Amino acid sequence: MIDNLYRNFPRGRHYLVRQQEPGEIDAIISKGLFTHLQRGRKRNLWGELAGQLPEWGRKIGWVPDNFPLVFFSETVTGEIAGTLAATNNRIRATRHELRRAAVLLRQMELTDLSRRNPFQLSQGETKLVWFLCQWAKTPEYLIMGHVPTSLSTRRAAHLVTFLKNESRAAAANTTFPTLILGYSPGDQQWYRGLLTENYWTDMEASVLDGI
Amino acid sequence: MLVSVRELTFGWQDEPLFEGVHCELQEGAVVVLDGENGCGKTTLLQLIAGVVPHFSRGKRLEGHIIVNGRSVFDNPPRDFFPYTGFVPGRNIDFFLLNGNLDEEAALIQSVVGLKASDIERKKGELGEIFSDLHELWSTSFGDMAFYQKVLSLFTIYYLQGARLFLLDEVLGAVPDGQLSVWMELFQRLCRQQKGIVLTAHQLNEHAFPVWKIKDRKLLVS
Repeated sequence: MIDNLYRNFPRGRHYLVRQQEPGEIDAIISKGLFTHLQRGRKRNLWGELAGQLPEWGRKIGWVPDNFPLVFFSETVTGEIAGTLAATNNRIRATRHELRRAAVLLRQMELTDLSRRNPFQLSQGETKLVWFLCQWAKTPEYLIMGHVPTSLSTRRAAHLVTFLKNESRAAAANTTFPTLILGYSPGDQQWYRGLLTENYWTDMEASVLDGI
Repeated sequence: MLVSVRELTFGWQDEPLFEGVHCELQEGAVVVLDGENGCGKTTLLQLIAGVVPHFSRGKRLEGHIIVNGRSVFDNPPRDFFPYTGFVPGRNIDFFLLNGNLDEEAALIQSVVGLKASDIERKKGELGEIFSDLHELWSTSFGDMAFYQKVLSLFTIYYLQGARLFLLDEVLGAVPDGQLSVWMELFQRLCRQQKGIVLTAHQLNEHAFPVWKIKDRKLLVS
């Protein structure tokens, strides 16, 4: 699964993928993860998946448009700091990781959410907090559906600008995630700024099929 | 009048999410509920639908919401069947009770007491608008993409004869070429004296009147 990703989306670049319809990327990723289970090969595949998921989760961050999300902490800060701790194979977050979570929240102008329960956030807020959790674990690939989905115009513009600025920094940093962002042709205007940067590539979402 | 909201104040915590909200939805009207992420758009829809406070209760609730002449807070959501149709932006699977649309249609026919010809007529009306709807009738909800589930749940409410449609963040799931189809649908529902409240980002806000939540207040344009 991950080998296919390396082959089709070489590291060191970022990718904008055209979706035939909203949610296509979510459908492809969830199919890749769960198809075998739906086919009834549960007994063998739980073991197979159990073997693959930790590696998948470590190397790939996924921010879906519409998919049930699970949180483990009672506060947003705790959730992000907990993700950072888990990346370092620990359960409890250190003071440094809590500070790092606060910095990430400030960068995304989400400081007012820091003490909120992640299960009580709005749809847009949930997406932003989930994004930060995925971002915090510094995966090799960060896959998102359509960035502005569920976000207000201001929030969406802020997130696209964040990704643009951070992806520039990535040119000289091999630990930076390779971004794979989905878009619908009608909403292409959100990404004009990205495509002017020469390390962004435009391609079809179907390339993701099979990962 | 389809909906009347009077002096509504609500907060999940002690601090109110919005306060003193006053608005009305007339027959044949479409309204876009707008505002920043987390301002309470979905919560207001859930309050009108009765999901809040009957299934999830906040810490502050004052004021009244009257739908179909009855208080939403004093009557459980089942009492507003088949009047209100709420299409949520997440956890939509909880609202799909059967295996597929055919089974839902059969349930509606028996519960609402419709004739088979009524169901067929309504199927035909929606089929005129959504050309690919016929493919969904026997498709398992489990095999559907999110947009197909949205269209299915909307179809269920249309079949049952809902007069008030509450659509939460569903237009973001609509494929590019289908947005104009939904606009046509809204116009058709308006001609039938039905009402629609929808939350939507990045929708041309001049398309419909807007209720905007800002600084805990609802601004009606």
